[in-house]
Amino acid sequence: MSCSQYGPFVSLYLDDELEKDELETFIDHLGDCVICQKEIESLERLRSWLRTADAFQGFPEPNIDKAVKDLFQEDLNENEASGIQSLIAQEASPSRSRKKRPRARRLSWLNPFGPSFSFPFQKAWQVALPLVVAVFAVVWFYDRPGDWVDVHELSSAQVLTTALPEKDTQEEDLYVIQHTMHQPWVSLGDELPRIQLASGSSR
Amino acid sequence: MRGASSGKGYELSNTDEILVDRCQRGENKAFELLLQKYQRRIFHLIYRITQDPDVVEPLAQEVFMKAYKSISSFKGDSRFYTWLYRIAVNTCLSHRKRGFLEENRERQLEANISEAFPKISSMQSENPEQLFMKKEFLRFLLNCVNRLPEELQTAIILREFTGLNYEEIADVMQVPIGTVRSRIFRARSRLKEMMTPYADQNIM
Repeated sequence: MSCSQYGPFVSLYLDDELEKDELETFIDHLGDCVICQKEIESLERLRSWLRTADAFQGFPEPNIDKAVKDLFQEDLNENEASGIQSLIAQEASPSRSRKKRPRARRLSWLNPFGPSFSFPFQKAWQVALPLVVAVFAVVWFYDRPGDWVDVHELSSAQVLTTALPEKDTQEEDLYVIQHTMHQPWVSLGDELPRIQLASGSSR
Repeated sequence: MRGASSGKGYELSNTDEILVDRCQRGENKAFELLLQKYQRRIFHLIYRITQDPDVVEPLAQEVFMKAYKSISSFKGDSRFYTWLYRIAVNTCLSHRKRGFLEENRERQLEANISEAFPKISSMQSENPEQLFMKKEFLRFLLNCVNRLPEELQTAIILREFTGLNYEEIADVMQVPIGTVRSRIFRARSRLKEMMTPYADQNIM
């Protein structure tokens, strides 16, 4: 049985949830009301047993390391999955999606500093670089180190001999290299007049 | 050092606020620390609501995943733990709606008390009859809690087992404080009615 007037106050009193003026009124009432006093005692006992049951039932012990690992692994899996899905979606609709791709990305491999780095004249650099590499490769192929002759060390004409491994002749082919101060560098292998000399002599 | 600057125009004054701020800036380690702090409380709450130890870990994982994904939208207009408890309560209630069977809960409740019983006997030197009575009583009491209507059960669990005050419970359940007052009062009244079989014995 609960007090008809202050029944609900008992529960609030137990939880310290009464407002100040409500509390003052209720404490005054408790002085005269045995029913409210017994009700407080009853709810205190209920609370005590609930907490006893709670303590003795316990709960499963968590594993913090596993929880962290599962949490961030699951997040990583979801990111990978969504990344793969968006890649598949892009492949499925090539025209529109590829048009939206920034142009810089196609040439990103030419950016020596990485795709996210941009610098002045980047596009010009990305076009010129392969050309420079190609020219250098051609020049390198035809002008092997060691075969250049410094023009200042030569007289007006000097004959150099070289053995060409791919040629299978008894006579050495001779290439005349004419250097003048005004002629550009040439390398062995250019089409130059051949002069057959007696072996061992050179001029 | 009191508080830390958050860049939000006010100082952060407690651990949770600082950790949440760091989470929102992308520090996973900060969320790990929050998980470490609240994991046991969330396990406890989930177990009280579901009474099923097999679902506690997966549901807790779901709760922390939801919290991790939505931490950026946490505005700080409530305490972090009431926000987290809200996610936990809603996750449990959704799980219940997905086909949780009453019979399983009853069986699990019996098993739980049986496992807990050795702890009671080791702590108190009472005769077997008294211990048996206590065991039965505890089982029956927890059964009563779990037979309460959902809104009353959630309110009384948050109050008695989690220790939240009325304002915090209102925040978790997203109802006015007056509703919380009413629900806790009605939950206690209902429990006392259900415990009537023990009323004439020296327990209640």
